[in-house]
Amino acid sequence: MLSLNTVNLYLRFVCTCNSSFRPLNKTVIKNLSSKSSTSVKNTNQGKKIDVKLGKYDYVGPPHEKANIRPLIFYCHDRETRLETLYRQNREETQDWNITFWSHHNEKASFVKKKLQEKYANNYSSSEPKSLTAEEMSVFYKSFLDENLRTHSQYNKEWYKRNFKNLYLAFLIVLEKIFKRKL
Amino acid sequence: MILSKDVSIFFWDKGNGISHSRRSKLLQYLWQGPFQMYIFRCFCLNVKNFKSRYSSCFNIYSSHLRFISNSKKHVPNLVKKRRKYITSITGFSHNTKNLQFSTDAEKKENDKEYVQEVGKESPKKFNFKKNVNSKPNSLMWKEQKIDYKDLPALYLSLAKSRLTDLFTCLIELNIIFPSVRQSWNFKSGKFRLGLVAMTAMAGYIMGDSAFDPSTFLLCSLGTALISCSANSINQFFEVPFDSQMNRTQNRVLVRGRLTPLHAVIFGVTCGLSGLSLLHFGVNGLTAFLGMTNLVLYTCIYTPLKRFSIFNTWVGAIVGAIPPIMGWTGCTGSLNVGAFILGGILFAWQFPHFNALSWNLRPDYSRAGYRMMSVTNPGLCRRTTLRFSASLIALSILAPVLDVTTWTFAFDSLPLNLYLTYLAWKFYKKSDSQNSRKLFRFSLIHLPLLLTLMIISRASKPKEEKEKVEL
Repeated sequence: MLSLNTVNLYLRFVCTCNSSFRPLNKTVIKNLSSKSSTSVKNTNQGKKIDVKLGKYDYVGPPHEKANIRPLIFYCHDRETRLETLYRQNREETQDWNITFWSHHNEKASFVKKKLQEKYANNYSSSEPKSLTAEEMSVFYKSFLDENLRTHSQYNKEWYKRNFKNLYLAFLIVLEKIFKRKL
Repeated sequence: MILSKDVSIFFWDKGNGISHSRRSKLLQYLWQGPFQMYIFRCFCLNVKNFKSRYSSCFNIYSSHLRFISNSKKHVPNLVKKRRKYITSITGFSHNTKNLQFSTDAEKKENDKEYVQEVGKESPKKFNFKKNVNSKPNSLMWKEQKIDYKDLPALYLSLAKSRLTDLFTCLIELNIIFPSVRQSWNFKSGKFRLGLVAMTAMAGYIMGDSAFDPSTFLLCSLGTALISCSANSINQFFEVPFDSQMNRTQNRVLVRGRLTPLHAVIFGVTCGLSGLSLLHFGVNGLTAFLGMTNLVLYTCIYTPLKRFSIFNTWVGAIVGAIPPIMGWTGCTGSLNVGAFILGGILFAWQFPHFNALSWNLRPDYSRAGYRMMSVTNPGLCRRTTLRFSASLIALSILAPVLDVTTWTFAFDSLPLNLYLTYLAWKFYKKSDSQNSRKLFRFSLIHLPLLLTLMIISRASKPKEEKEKVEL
């Protein structure tokens, strides 16, 4: 799905991690091999990045459908176990967020268009195609009610992942301060 | 599927600076539809200038073509057949004005639904998304690096400083930190006070005991710090939801200017420092109230926004606590006066917030927030009217309970009556104009009401004793 120009960039980042990584856990190996290469593709939609990527994490423009800004995570040589976990967690949450919100926003816009079409058929061509605020509010309410369960599930999952990210980042900071493996 | 935005990004990189040049418009039109893109590709391959100038297009285009091919559409081999199709190109000879292409602004003007929702007056105010996209910096890949010059501005925006700090008005007037003001985008005519700190100060001044300037400052600073921390932790929790809404797209964590850990550490330090200031500088009770406020806002209000409309009531309590904190900072105990102040602010929150949320209904529903204006608009209208009418009752009750003199009851009548009149209009015909009027007036109404209250404050018991002795 990617053009050749873009693939090289991503491979560069993937290869450095794989070459110098010393795994301590079997699960970590599995996660790295399967997830890290694909996650960057999904979030960047196969676009070329015009910036020279240095030794930091990069934040990009908002995703078309999901409106979330994807990150490119920098993976340096001799990454500790915690740092790999942190990076993987962030990648996973990013993928999950983007898939959820793109799906969710499609639902929101698709139903709106359908409503507009439905009402437009009743009007003649001379009258403007519009929906009153009350009709739209009915739609908004119904949309919210339909998606209550999915929203609540998403919320719980999001809080869990967010706190996990925070905890890992905090441990990494402590690790750096005390220069001991945690 | 539509990549018009993406195309225009890479045109900005070539130094155009203008988002809607003819070239980009033309190409935006041409991007619509695989056949037209096919023609465009053929055209580009045979024009040398195009190839050198728009080399970045090819990558997008090739990836898009592959997407099409993956989605089971036949795409012939371009390299061999390109020369045949060049002769069939006619679109380029036409005048570009005849072609129909719509920019975001044009779409919004023509989109009746949007106009009805948002209102025709001052469309610039609600063009937040356009604001984001018109800045090329916000659409480029940026490294997540801490720039120490930007930190104060970032911290202030994390803290929603226009809500919390009184001294940001000094920044807005360019008296201090002019560099910070330049980094903000707002109109120079506006003047927004830090509401929370203001209410706490008002509560302190209204308190029964004597006025001590040091505790006054500590109390106001403590409440400001607590609201800073509450806001930053709230922003940490709501990153994906904020990215969906136009109003909150430019927030610090959404843009990735700071890492979430950084924001949380900032919030926690602000909160701890605020609480310690209140505990050691003012009062144990004030510190306790501050802590409850913080917990209510971060742990109860923010998750509840996603589940039920009861969040507005909880939020109103959160807004009502700062003046009570000011009162307890002064006296050290809770009196009837504290509850009246709290009640006034509790009642004020409803017209303020309901009017604000009325215009943001599409955004709220898309992001999944459950607000009264979306799920129960009838209740929304009724509550605004009820609580704005109850403000009249409360302001008359104040002198009855010896919190203020009777002048307050007469002074505040016109203000409260006008507020109820606007709420009545909103109740009768709830559209964007009425809601905006109500919201704007509520911003003016609160400071005026508090100043009137302070002016007509009932004399304190110590002052009366001094008079008797003389």
